[in-house]
Amino acid sequence: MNFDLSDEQKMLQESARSCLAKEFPVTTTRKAAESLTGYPEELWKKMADLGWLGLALPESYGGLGLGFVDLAVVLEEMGRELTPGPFFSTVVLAGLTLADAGSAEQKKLWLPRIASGGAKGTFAWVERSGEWDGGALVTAARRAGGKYVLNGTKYFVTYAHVADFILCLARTGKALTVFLVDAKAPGVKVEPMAIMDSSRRVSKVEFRNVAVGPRDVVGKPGAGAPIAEGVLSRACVAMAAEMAGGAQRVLEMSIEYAKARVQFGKPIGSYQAIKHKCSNMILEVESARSAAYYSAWANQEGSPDVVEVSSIAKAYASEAYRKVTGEAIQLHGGIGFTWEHPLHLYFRRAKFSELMFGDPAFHRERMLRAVEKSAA
Amino acid sequence: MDFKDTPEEAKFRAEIREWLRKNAPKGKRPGGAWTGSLIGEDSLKFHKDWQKKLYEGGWAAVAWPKEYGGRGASLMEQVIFYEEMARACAPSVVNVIGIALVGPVLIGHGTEEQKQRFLKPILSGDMIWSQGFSEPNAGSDLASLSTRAVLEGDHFVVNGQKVWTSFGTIADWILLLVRTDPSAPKHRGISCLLVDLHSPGVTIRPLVQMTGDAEFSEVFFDNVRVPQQNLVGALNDGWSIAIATLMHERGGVAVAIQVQIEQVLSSLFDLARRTGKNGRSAMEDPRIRQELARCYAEVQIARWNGYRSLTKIVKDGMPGPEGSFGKVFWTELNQRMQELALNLSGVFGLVPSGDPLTVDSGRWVYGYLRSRGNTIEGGTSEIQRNIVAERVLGLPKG
Repeated sequence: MNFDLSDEQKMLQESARSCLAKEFPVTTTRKAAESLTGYPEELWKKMADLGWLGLALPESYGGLGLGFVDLAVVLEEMGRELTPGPFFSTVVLAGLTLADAGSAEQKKLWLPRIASGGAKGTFAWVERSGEWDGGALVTAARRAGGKYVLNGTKYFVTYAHVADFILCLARTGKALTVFLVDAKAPGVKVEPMAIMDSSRRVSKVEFRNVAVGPRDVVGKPGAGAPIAEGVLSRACVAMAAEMAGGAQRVLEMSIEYAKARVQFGKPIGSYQAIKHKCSNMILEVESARSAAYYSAWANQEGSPDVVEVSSIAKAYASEAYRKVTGEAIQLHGGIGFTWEHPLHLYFRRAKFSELMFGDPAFHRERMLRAVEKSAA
Repeated sequence: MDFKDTPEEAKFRAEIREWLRKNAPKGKRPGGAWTGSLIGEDSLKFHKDWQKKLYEGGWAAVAWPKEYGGRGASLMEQVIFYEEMARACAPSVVNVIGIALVGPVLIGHGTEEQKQRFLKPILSGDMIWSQGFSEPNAGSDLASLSTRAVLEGDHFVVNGQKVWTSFGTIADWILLLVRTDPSAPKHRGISCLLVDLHSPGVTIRPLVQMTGDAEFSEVFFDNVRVPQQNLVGALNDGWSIAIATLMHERGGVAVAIQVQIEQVLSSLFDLARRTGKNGRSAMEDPRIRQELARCYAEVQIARWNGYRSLTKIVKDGMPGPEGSFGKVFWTELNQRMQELALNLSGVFGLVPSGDPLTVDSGRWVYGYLRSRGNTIEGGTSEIQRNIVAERVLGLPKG
């Protein structure tokens, strides 16, 4: 048993940290939020150059063939600086799903382009009901001759406004099927949505009589449910890693402030009320990190407890991140409540991450069902 | 990163699993045995017999070096040992202070004569040990202890009082911290003695705790004579031994604790499965499901934190930040699990052991009360949080 990063992974961590802190710190996230796409183009180019986009994609399709743990390392660092952009959508939601369940043709067409930075993808899941349970979905693909006609509206589709293709989870009769849809196809309408987290872009995507062929089915028709489970588990782990990184950064800011800020003649960090707050924060941050990495490993190895541990990571890290950012604002006092201080950006991101892909209560239920299933 | 056993670890696991399959006690156990409580003659004998069996099989102290009757097990092998003990529902070790604390202290700091005399009976369970650290006025501030030992000829004469002494009523010996130089700064005037509790002048008074049991004792020393050769380490160097002991306590005990909270979790789920709530099984009540899931998740996270900590200790000799809050994490989690169990049983959760109406032989009533002590003993949660803030996060002392 060994629960530590390898030397190579530690090097990756260091280089990612210094690159992001130096070239794309949280201040650039702020500026990018006002831009049209929501992220600087040179960031995307840099990620391609550093090999991050193909890090966890198979070597046969232009990737580096590394594992989910390596990916988690990079995601954790992005979480520290609230790195904006379609990395999560393109790599975690689209790329890994195609690598996992796509046809040879789909992989050949898209994976090398993802790895090189030449294509972006995303995954369209939740609808107006706001429910992440597959049973609640009404977007449907009707068979018409040898083709399908897709109709429905998806919400909170991350970075759909810059995507080249969208993986869409839709109903085919009673079952679910995942379709690969060209974002420019007739009948696809992408409309950016306003959300309280400005470091992430999401869109409403309308599919109106969109024609998709049998070659655009990901996996087999009707096999969408297990594919979606995989997407959800990977999304959980990726977000948990990002959240652990963000929470760690916020903890560091808080400790620095608690040492520097003097009131009643002493640094506020010498008072037990502050010490105990900080102590609770590190407990939550480190525990979130343990859960993120254990579940990354479980995904990488295809361990039988993937669903269970991914949901634990998502549920725990979400609550930890929300609490830690909230406590950090409290600890910073007035300055923490200003627009100028970056803390509210983390506080906003924490809530986004908590609610996207299922809230903690949803994941506790998902986890418990997986536990009951494996015990039966 | 890899959570699978190495070939050596797998071999060790197979060996202990096979031994436990053949030797772990089966069938009904005496009352109180589910908590590892040694109160009552039956329970004590049951646990002593088990200890003897472990000793004969060579499993009494896997962490000790081979030359002293252990197996020289690595930390990972110790984890495997505890995991397999839990898997086989094997009883806990009776002489836990002797094996986890006193043995390692003697192996590290004891004289050859002390090792020869004490190590074997510690292993076999023939000599039960207790730990005399806390005093009425030295709790969180342990170094302010005032039990005095004065060297007169070749004997120390000990006067004073210890409190919260675990196993005091059944112990034969005590590892005692005493003040030997009152004029020195408080950390520099402390020594460590091995004291026979059957000596004249020793009075042991059971300390009844809020569960109604007397798991701890008050121990009084009135001119107790202790031979000079029972000094461990150098005179006035007892504080470093105390710290080493507390390190053993936090390292070795942490692994055993994980096994215990996993057992509590599993019993909690069993209870939920057979408990009705609002006209259906408690397992179908969405609110209870949320609470159970939360406990389940946190028990797993405690294990993963433990794995990280162990990896770090194996590599660097010291745990990382995740090792520093383990006690706060498990004690507070355990309190929530105990409370949930009591709530699941509703009013019948109030019926204590010994009554036919009690739930699960009264373990939850006991656990609910007992768990309040966990956040106090061995360093209160407040002290633990101060330590994390000051030593891990580097915040200034108040």
